[in-house]
Amino acid sequence: MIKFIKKKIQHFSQSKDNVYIIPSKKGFKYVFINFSLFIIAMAYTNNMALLISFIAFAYFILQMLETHKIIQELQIEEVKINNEYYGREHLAYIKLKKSIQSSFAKYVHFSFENSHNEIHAHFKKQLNESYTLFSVNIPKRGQYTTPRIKFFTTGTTGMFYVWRYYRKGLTFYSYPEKKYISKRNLHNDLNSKLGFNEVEFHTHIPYTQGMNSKRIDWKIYARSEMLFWKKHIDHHSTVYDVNYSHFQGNKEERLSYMSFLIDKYQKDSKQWRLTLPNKIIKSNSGAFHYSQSMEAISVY
Amino acid sequence: MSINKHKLDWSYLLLIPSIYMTKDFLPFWYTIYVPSVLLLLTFFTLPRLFTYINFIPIYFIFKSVGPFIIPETTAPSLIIFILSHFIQSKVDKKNIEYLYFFWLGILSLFYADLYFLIYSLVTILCYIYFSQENISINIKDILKNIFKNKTKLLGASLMTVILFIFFPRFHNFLPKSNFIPKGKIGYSKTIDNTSTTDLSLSSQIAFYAELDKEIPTSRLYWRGRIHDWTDGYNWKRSQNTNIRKWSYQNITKKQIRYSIKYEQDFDKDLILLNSPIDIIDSNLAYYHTKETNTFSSYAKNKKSTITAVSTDENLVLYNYSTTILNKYLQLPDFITKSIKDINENIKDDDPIKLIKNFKKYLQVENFSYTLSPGYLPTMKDFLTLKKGYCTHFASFLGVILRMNKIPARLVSGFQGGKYNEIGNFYSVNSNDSHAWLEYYNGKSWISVDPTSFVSPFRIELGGDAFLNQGQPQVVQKNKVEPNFLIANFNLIKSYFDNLNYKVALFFDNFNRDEQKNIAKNLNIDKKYFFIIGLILFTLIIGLIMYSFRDTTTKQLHPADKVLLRLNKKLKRYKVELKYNDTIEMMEIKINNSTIANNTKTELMDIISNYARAKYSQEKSIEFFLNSVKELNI
Repeated sequence: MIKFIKKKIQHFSQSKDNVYIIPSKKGFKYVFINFSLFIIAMAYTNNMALLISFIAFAYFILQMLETHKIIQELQIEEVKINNEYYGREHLAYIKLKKSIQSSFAKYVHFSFENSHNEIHAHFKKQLNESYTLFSVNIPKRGQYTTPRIKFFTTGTTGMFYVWRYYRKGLTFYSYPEKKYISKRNLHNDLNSKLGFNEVEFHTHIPYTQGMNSKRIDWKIYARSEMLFWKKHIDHHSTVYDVNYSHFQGNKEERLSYMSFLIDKYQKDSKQWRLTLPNKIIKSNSGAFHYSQSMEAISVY
Repeated sequence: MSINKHKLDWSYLLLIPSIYMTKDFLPFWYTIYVPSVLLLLTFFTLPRLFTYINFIPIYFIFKSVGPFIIPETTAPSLIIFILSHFIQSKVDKKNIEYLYFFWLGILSLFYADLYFLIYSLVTILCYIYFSQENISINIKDILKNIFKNKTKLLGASLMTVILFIFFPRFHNFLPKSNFIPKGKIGYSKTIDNTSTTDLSLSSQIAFYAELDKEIPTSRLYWRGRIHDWTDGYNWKRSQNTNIRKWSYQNITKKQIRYSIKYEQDFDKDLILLNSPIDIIDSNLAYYHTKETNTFSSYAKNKKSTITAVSTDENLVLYNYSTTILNKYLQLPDFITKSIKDINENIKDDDPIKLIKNFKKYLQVENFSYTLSPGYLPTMKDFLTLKKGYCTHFASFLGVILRMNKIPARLVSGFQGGKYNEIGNFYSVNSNDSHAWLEYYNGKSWISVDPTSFVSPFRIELGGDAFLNQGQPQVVQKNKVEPNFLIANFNLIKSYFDNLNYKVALFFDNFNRDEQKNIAKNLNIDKKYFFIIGLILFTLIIGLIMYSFRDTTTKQLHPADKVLLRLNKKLKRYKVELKYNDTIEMMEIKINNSTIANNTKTELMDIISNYARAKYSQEKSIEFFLNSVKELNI
């Protein structure tokens, strides 16, 4: 029965973007004490005691509305968890809209709800005024969506517990851990050409997330406030084949080598082709290709 | 003892006056201990020993009041418990604010006046102010803070007032708390000289009496209970006979009409100005005992208001049974030799002469008036020590009169009172309590006060003024014209006391009947009165919520406002693009929807227009708006 009720509550809380409020332990104490005072005042028909209990009640109502307001006004601009190699902490941030009163942000905490994608990030953190940076540990490589985030507060007096959920799940990846592979092994194992590469500026393309930030054209940004990315072309298009079957070891080891190589080629601005038993990604270079490749090996 | 990092907060000190308010129930050392502890608490965390010491006064409370669970024992005990919580608490003060309210609520069982109301409001406001962060004690900042929170203050005040006026009251079912503990000066239900010892002052208001004009203090005798049985030293009331045929000759010349509002319990006795003729109006059921000319209520005397008529002339009795007078001649079988000897020296058949002799005797023998004569278990002790208070002298004269076959009885009540010229009322407090004597001269009962023989100033000034000002020299000093400041201070105080009385009157009398009267004046049914209250209360909460509303929509970026317009068009596809969504999120939402593919492409362009409008140039808002307008979906 309790399970059923819990399930129903969970279902209800997941289906609506509501603000929830209940008195805290302290709030219940307050209610109990005030109710006792009210009973005493009524029993002794003492108007002064009754007045005090009414003042206390009005204070309670005000606190309820004020605490509710803190969460009600909380406007999340963006929540993001960056892609990262397994074993490293994923950098995450919560960006607030300016509308929330900055003085109240410090009363708000947030935590990740234990979700189906097993991000065991059970932490409680205080929210900063506009931009909160934090890190998340991911248990294994793979594809994840940002879990439901619970924003909660007990307000300035701690009499009420108010919370709401943020559920806009964005995908992020925990890439396989990078494992160094020696040049010798690389030569032996790779069925690819080694080549000298010369890159040259080709054109500007709109910047999207995942592109190497070093190539953002800040001059254009200064003029137009728009981010453009300098696309380069590799004239000596030496293509490396990053092939799952060319590596030795178990599945994770192989993926780790692949991860290392993709990262290396990306840094060296080289072209590569990714070959997995279930997927082939055509040869290319650049940030988008890098993301595509890393995502593919993450979910394999 | 360690430095307290959390509790450096002066609002603790606001609780000190409340200890003074309950001082009648607490040992004297505790009234010093508590302020000291509260002061220390503002700087230090105190060790557990202080908590143990704190509990000691509970013993004294139950010792002085008795082993009963009544407000007089529970309220000071609860305050001790709350204080212990303060001492023990290592947590932030924020977690114990409900105790502030409880503390004040418990005290309000005893105090229902303007002073207490102001004290409570100041304490609550200070608490709320001090519980904020980064506060300053600068008056400018305080005012700024109040102005900033004006909506909340106004809302809370309106809520409180509406609840107070409209919340249904019940009829009294528990007595008011107004007990005077043993050892404090106060109204005597029996004259028990054997067991009482030194008395300490108690300035608790006993009752207010509204009179049109001021009466000389020496004639202000407020009559309570008649004591007719004596063991030669102590006096008590025996069974009275209430025969209807006795009556008092009506004296209409000098009738004084007044109303009394009782603040204490006198055990069913109704205190009235001497000599009472009748009660005209009362909110409680009462009866008149003609034998003693006293009035009593049937139920235990709660805080009630009566209007009565008295006269300062002696009431002449007719059809008075002389056989009943024997009752007032009763004496114990054994009377000590010392009294017999005194009686031999002063005896006379004429009561006036006898009383004159008695007065002379007291003055010659240097009897003196004091509240602290020590323990005087017998009349002999009193006669040896030659000092005592009103009950000792009244008892002494009562015995002498009866020994001379003059019917006599003791009266306990009050003498004196402070007159407020602004509100035309007397405030009489416990310090004014008094005992005197009445003897029968064949026609009527005549009052005589033996205390005036040894301490005339006690009677001239009234109990409270005499006991607080003390010696006659001070009285002489006071006769000098007060200077401008003192005169004005007294005038302001009179205004304030008057207001205080009116507030106390309102707090005591605002009950179910008063609510009925208001409903009657508004020409509405009683149940609609309560419904109106409920509606008003809901309205106030609604108004506060309105003032607390989310104002972010007003601050929307123009591009976001256009986005809301786009949402209307997308509503049939159950797609809602929120202004706090990221662009990626918006694209995902559109891709996952059931919108046709070519429209999806169009929408993607619109979203990129939205991004430009919002994050780049102001001009592109029009472009974005047009693209939304042109969208056919």
